[in-house]
Amino acid sequence: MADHIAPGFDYDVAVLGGGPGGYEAAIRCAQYSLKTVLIEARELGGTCLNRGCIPTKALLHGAEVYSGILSASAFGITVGECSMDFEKLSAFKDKQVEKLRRGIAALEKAHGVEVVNAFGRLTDANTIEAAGRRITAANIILATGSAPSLPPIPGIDAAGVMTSDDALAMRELPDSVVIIGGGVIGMEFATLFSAFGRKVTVLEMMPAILPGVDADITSSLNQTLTQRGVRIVTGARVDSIGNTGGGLCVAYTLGHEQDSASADCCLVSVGRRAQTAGIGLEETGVDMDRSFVRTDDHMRTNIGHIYAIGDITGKVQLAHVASAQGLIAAANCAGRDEIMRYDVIPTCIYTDPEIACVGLTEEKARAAGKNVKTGMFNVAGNGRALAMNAAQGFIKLVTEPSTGEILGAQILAPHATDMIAEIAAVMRCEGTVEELAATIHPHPTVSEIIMEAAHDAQGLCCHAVPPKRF
Amino acid sequence: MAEIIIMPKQGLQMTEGTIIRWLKQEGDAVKAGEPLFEMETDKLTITIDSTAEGSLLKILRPAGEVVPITLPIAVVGAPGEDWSALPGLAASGDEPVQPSAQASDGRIFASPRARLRAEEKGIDIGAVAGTGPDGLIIERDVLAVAPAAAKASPLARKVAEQAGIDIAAVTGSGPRGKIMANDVRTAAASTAPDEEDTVIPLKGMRKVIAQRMKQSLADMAQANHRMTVDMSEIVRLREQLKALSVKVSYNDFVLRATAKALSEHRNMNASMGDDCIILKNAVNLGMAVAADNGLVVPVIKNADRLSLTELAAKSSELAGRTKENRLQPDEMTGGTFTVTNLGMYEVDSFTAVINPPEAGILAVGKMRKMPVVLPDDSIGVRPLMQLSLTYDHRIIDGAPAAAFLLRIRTLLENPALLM
Repeated sequence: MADHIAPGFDYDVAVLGGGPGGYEAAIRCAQYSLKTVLIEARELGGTCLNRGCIPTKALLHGAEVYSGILSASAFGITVGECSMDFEKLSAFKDKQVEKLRRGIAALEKAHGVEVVNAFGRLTDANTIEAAGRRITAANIILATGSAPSLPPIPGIDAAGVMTSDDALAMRELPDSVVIIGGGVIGMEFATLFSAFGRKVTVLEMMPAILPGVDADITSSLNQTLTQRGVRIVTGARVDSIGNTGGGLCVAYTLGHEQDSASADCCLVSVGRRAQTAGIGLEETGVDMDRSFVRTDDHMRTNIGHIYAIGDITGKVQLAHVASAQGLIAAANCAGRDEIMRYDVIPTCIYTDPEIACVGLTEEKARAAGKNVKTGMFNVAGNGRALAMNAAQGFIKLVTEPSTGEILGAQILAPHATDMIAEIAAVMRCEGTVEELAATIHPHPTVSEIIMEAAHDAQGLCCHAVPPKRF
Repeated sequence: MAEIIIMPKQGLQMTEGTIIRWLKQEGDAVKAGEPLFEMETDKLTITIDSTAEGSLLKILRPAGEVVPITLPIAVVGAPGEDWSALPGLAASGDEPVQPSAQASDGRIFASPRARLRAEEKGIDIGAVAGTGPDGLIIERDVLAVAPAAAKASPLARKVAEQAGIDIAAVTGSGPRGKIMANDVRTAAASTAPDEEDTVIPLKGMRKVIAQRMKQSLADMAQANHRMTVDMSEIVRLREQLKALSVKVSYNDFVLRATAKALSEHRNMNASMGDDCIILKNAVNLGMAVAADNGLVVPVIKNADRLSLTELAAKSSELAGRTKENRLQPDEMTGGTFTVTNLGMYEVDSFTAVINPPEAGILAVGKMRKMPVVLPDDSIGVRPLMQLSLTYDHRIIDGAPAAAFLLRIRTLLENPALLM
């Protein structure tokens, strides 16, 4: 138990919000010998563990196993009739989530962090009121996270309209679903529902699904999902959601044409809003940018000893970014003067195949005026992927030719999400395409595609046909 | 009868030479007077002609070796001749020639590679302990004292290479001081010349001057005294000599006065050794000459033993050859004190930088007619000249330095003492 207490306060640090940003920040504060309290209204682990990353991955893994069984004949395996009990999958998901939640609670305890399970709100710049208790702290880390946002579409409150929170609480799968929003959440749910053979329509307002992701990757994924029967409509502006008695009808405009899509239910995944209302921020004078909290590179708000991390900062809404911000905030609470960097942040999308990205896309690098040389490699040329009967996808390595600097990488491949950290580490250490190319990659692994792409960037790829890339 | 080729002595101060390249291979026919090998001393690189005729039977010292003078380096004789019993060959071993890498005159014995590495890494080779033969500083010795290569990210190294920045000079902001690309970019932005600027690579003489001047100010405790000299008597004397067709410049009088003062004030004719001060026996006076390609300091050996006219003749001759770039290597070394004169450039007074390892330098300004208060309190016009003495306070204190400068003034104001 930390014994170092700022004079006049109950705690050195109070962390408001126990998501991946908050709970890690609290542990790190304790590691720096700061007396720390973690205040969480709901379950520890926040959205990520309870209503996001982890439960969706449990369901998606179930979908992957299911798909694997359906395609088992390729491996000479004959299975009888294959059926699916979604309730049991859902229970499995809940069990794993519960295990992880207990793990977090145990970690907080082991590090000497006091956990207060109550809704907390600031009453002044050093005080949080929670469950009738006034908790004072020298430093406060705001980590209250986000919730799915619902756009003001007529019929948005109709029965059968779900957010990702609702979708994860489902005990049975709908036969058909319209997904409004083809971003990361929308495409993961599209992957899930379609894997279980459900009829899926995705309505995306932008010209392509997964805005911000490399265009070659999104078009490839679009094609793959379309082949699996997912209907993807891009450039579609949703006008209204209507209840048709037997289900929902989503009316949208595509160009100048009116059209509609019908399904049992509708998942709205158009973004997430910061949970910053009603926690006393305005009253305390914390500087806001709409619903987001403004922070500097030390994760400080305009009030020096109040920090903000995670989704409420409006920077990058990813669990690992929140965690990284939380560790920076904790370090600064301990007087260590660390700054947050946003240049090397990997992003993972759990579609099939998986997508993983880090740094700049080719398009963004060119838009930034950089000289760009890409190295590419097709997963079809990878032995391990072929042995897995999963040889779809490719990698694109974005480099600056004069220095060999790695500007970014995008991978559409099996295991992509587990491989991207390699490139992130090389980028963080400022390794260049030469080091990446010279690093011996184990064979046979899908990770060899990274080395192959580096070789290709040098014009020296052994496993690609010389003049034409692919 | 086979003959031994020895490492020839080129120049008075040469004690060893480095064989750069053999121009003949073993078995080749060699004529006397035909180029045989290239060698390098610490002053020059020259091609040495064969002193013998026949077949190059054996190269005893391959290229790259540093060989003390007079030691055998090759054998020339009739093809197939047995040369193994030649007298004198036994001496080709490792005779001690100099007791340590740092000779008493301050010169440093180091292999060319060691010098190159030291230069690359910005290491003062004089501070390196030699472990080679006879204390010779070899590459290994320099590498041993070199600080570990700056930790820099691969990208930082490439950015530095492109920007032409010495990465060792960049301060790292990464983990454990690792130099990151942004550190180099920041450093590059602060030193990068504008596109319109002219960039002259630092090499040759400019580089030597740059290093020596920097070393001088870095190593020494340089202090400065100034005095004004009434040159009336010198002007008069010079006119007399001129009438007698004896050509002596004002600077020659200064050289003479300085040489004489040095012979009397030996603590000014000194250099810093290892934990000791070396009072030099000989007064070897350097005179700074502005040559086309930079500053050159020819040295008048034993200047205190030369009469005024001998000194004048010598200085004029040396200055002439300096400008024609025809100085012998040992005519530029071994100086114990330097006189530099910018009077012809209308400079009234200036502070010179000591030419290491000397202990002082006298900067001479323009002689001008100036109003002065005479002993009878009247005002007269006198030719005045300012002398500025920069001295190494490690070696000599302010008072003795002032006494030395005053002595020069006295000599110049009473030129009979110079005779």
